[in-house]
Amino acid sequence: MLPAIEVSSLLFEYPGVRALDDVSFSVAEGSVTALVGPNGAGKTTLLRCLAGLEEPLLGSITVSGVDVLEEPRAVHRRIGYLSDFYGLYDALTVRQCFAHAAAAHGVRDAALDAAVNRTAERLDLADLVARRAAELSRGQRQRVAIGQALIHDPQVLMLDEPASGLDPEARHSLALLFTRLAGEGMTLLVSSHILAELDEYSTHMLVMRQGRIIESKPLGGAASGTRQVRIVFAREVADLGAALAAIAGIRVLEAGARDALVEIAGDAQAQSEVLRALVLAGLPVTAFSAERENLHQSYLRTVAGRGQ
Amino acid sequence: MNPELRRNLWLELTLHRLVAVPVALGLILALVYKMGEPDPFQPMAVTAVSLFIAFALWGGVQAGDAVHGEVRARTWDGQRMSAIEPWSMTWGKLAGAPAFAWYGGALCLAAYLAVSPERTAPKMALFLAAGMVLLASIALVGSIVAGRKAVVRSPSSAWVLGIVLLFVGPWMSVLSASEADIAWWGRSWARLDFLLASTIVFAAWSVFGAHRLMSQELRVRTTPWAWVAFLLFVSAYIAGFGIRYHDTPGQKVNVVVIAGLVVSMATIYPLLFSEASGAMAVRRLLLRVAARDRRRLLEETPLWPVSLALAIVFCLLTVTLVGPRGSEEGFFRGVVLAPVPLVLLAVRDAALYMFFALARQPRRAEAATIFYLLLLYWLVPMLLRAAGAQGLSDLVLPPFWARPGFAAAVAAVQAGIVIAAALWRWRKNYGS
Repeated sequence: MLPAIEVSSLLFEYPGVRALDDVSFSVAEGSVTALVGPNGAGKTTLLRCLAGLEEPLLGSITVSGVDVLEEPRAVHRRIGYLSDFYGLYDALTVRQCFAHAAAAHGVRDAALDAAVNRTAERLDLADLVARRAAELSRGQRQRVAIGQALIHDPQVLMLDEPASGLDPEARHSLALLFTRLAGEGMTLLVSSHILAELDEYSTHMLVMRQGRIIESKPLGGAASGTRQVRIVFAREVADLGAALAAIAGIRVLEAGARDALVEIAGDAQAQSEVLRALVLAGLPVTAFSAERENLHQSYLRTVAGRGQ
Repeated sequence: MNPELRRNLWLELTLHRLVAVPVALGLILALVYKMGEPDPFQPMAVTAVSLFIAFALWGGVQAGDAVHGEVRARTWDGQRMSAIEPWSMTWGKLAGAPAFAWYGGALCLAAYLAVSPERTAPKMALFLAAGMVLLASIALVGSIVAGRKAVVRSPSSAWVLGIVLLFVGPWMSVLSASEADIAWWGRSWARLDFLLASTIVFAAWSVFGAHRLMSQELRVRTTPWAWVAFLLFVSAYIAGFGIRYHDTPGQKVNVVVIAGLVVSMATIYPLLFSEASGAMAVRRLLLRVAARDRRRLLEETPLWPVSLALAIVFCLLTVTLVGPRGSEEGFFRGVVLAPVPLVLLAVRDAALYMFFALARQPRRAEAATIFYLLLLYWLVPMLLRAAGAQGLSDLVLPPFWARPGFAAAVAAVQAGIVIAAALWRWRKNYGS
């Protein structure tokens, strides 16, 4: 299967600043990839290049099999993009905003109403379609902007800080929407500072720093063939880290006096064998449970691992 | 229906406006009718045309904000990513953004045609309509350029319209100054017919220009052939006013070459200050040259070097074609060498702009360039002349009419120095 997004050796500069420096990565179809990194890391520039709004100096970008640099117009029909600093037509109603976005993305006149209604339902905006955009709250405007980006059912949806301005309830519904869209086969690339929010729906993580990709990996370990396991002991174990490291198949991530977080390569059978080895080694195991590494932990570990 | 047109119609043509405009127009014309009795039709026609002009100006303001307003409102990225084709976007904005003005203007023209006693009323109405298309499309071009440059953060409409009137106004007033026929390319043309044809042709060029710029905005690549064609057309158009019936083919060529030189020189500066020509543009072009990618090189070259190249070509033609004939014709003897220092000074000025644009953090390169050009062309030479240092003044602003050979040498030295400075700054800031 072709990746939904494939980027190779991307170079982009502003006067005096190299915003993207030899950036290469690929995004699997149907995945939800969290694009994370500090301010100024190049996330927005990268998204704008992927969306065909900016042209890099060098490199290649393919989205849904189409070369973005050669055929940006063809790519625009296949993608949806929500900019960090988006705007709405304030004088139009939500219905008109959606209808214009749909028609502008090639939805036929006969299908406009259906597309508008479906999008309003998806974004919990059905009660607000007659209101002018200028009359909406910040969170409601954010949902309208997201609706405009996905009204034409793009193959790839790219969102720059989609949850900023949303209350916790709206964020949760957005997470559910993204999960549902990914389930329907849409590929999502989401940039955000709020890692906890991304954690709800992301399957992959792309970490940027100073214009470079420093990590690109699946989240949760399952897809990479490893699993994180939290082990709790009945009493304090002297030099627990060393004792665990001596067990084959274990990589120690954290070790306290009575508990540890380890990474175990392999499937459930491999975990069972590790547990057996722990008991045979005389370690007083009282709990042994798989633990999903959250995005925040993963990000911090990645950054720490790079000595940043 | 064109989505961009429909969006604009939602905003511009409300039911209230649709009803209010004909009612107001009817009331105004009724008032003029009563006041103008017993011969009310001429003043009614004048009123209708005056109101049309007001609508046309308002339409220009609206078209001038069509793109730049979207850049300000941060909706332009969404439009750039839409599936709307460049031509649909162009005419959707031209017809849609000033939709209210078109509506009011159409009603005024209909009233004018109904009441005007003049036999030429249909032609005049067509001329006015073409003039409004010309105005709106130039305003749209200005709007795209202003949005791209992002130099105007306040509403741009008035600014754009001011530029439009600055260029279109003198041309229109010269052509409509009297009622005599116009001599063009050695033939006599009825004034209104000539004005009508000129306005239609320039409106078509202007719409085409807006379409080319819109194509670039929507990421459709273009090469500069259309700009070259436009410059050649304008050169031939302007040359037509200087060509007399009995001119020989050689004399006609002389006039065309000099018109071409003037036109290409005149476009260098507005382009230089309105296009993106900084370090990133240079780096992009150098990469294309290194990759021998001629197509991309042409697509990504700004237009001012094209104008400059054309000016150099016309300068060489002036020296080689017009020059040999200069011994016979007094006028051409004077102008044959003057273009050489003028073109060299244009090269210097372009290099000066690039020097500022190639700063590590370029800020207001345009303003800095204009400031130093004012010093070089006006303040310093004037001050030196006032102090009696004519020789020094000639080294700053070479006397290209009186001593073109000396002026060419001075301009070449100046151009060389500024080019060297720009190259030094490039190597220092972007050399790696």
